[in-house]
Amino acid sequence: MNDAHPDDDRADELTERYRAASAADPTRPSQAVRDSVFAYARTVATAHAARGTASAARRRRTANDFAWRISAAASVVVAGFATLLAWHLHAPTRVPEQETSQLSSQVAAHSPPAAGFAVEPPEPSQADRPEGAAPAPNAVTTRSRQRPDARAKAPAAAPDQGPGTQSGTAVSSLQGAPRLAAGAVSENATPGESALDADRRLENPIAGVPVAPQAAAAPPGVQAPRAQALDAAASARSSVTPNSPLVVAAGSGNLELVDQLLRSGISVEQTDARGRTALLVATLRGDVNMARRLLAAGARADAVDAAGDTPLAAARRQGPPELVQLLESASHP
Amino acid sequence: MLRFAGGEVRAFEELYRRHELRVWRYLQRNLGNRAISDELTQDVWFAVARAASGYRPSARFTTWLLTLAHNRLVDAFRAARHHERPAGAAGSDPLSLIEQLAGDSRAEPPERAQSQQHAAALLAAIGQLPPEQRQAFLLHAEGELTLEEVARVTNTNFETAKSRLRYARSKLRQLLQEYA
Repeated sequence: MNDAHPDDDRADELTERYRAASAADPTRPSQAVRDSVFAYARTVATAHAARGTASAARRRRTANDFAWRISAAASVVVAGFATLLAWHLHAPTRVPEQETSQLSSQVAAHSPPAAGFAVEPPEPSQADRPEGAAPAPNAVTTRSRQRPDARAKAPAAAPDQGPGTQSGTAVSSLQGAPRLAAGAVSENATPGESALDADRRLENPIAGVPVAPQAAAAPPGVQAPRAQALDAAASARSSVTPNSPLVVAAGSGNLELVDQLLRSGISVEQTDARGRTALLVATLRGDVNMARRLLAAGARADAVDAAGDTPLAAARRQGPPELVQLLESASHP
Repeated sequence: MLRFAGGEVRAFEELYRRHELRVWRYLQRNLGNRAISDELTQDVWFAVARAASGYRPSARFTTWLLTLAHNRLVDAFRAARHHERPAGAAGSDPLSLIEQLAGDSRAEPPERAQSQQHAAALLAAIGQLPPEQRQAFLLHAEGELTLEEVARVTNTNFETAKSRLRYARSKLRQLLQEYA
């Protein structure tokens, strides 16, 4: 900010006198200065011209250069592969989950049930149900079908449930959890509480955790204490993985999927609700190749399930001799 | 400058001739030494030639040119470790100018001779100004810069430049009265 005034820049009488005196001054810079400056200017101009030619020769490729397009296309392809690789490496658990769902439907639709497996009878449709009738305790509500987190948290049926329920559990581990989710919560419903209300409690994280045997064994109408439920949930999470993708894949005989799951770092000792490892399920199926792959991944041949069964015992009981030999050699290396 | 940047050497020569005396006189009246003034003038124009390729006309060329000259002047003062004009040169040039003008004036009519003596006295008085005041006066009178431009060249604010110029004029009037 300044207070510049037009008169400030006006040449006063003294300035005019100086300019007149300076113009009359005959002194000049020497001719040598002029010559050297001109010579230097010519040198600089020549250097600029040479540099300009060189830079023109090194000019960047234009957009219509064919090579530029090839480079751009190659970059896009490389970026795509990198994205796929990153997705594959950083989201390993989503792949088996998706494939498990597909696999479940495939197994349910096409595969014959393995030994010891029973198919759950089809659920009566809404049209089959008389109007006004309350939903059955194990009925699958629309809400439970639409709730993916409920499916993820769906607890497996307790081991002490009846045979029908057990067989249903086995199938439901392949066909999806909603039935179990609704069923398990409905079993925990207090008298007078509808299955829908119990199902609504799934939104509560405590109510949504898998029900451990001791919690499920509580008398009807008596809710397990909160701490007990939490303990049960913790123990259930540590040992039982409902819908364990590895067990499901082993049970379906999908060696490729098992291989992919093992490469993704999944624990080979994951069990289903009955405490069965993938190796035990494969043994029950008599699948030698699957058992060999699981043993190579470190599966234990003496892992005990909830019923006290082990892969080696199951193989001796009903498996082919090759499988027995394989498991015995794994037990006594 | 832009024509020279395009490779036209003749444009540079034209530019040099137009501003040669302005730069040289600014340096010479500050330094009082022709040899050093020649050397610095050469440095200034070398710098102009080098900077031509990247020159952007954001201000008057004269302002930029005198900024280059002023910076070299400050460097020369700094190198000499004093801000006064070199004693020998300061005493010799104005006196020789006065003597030269006085000698020439002997053949001139009396009015013109008196005018030349007054001119010589003015140039001699400029040499006695403090450096900052002398620079401000010369940039304004010789370089034909405005006060804003003087402030920019000397890296000061407007008020300082204005004050220096006012003191310079006052001092010159006082010196010229003493001379008369």
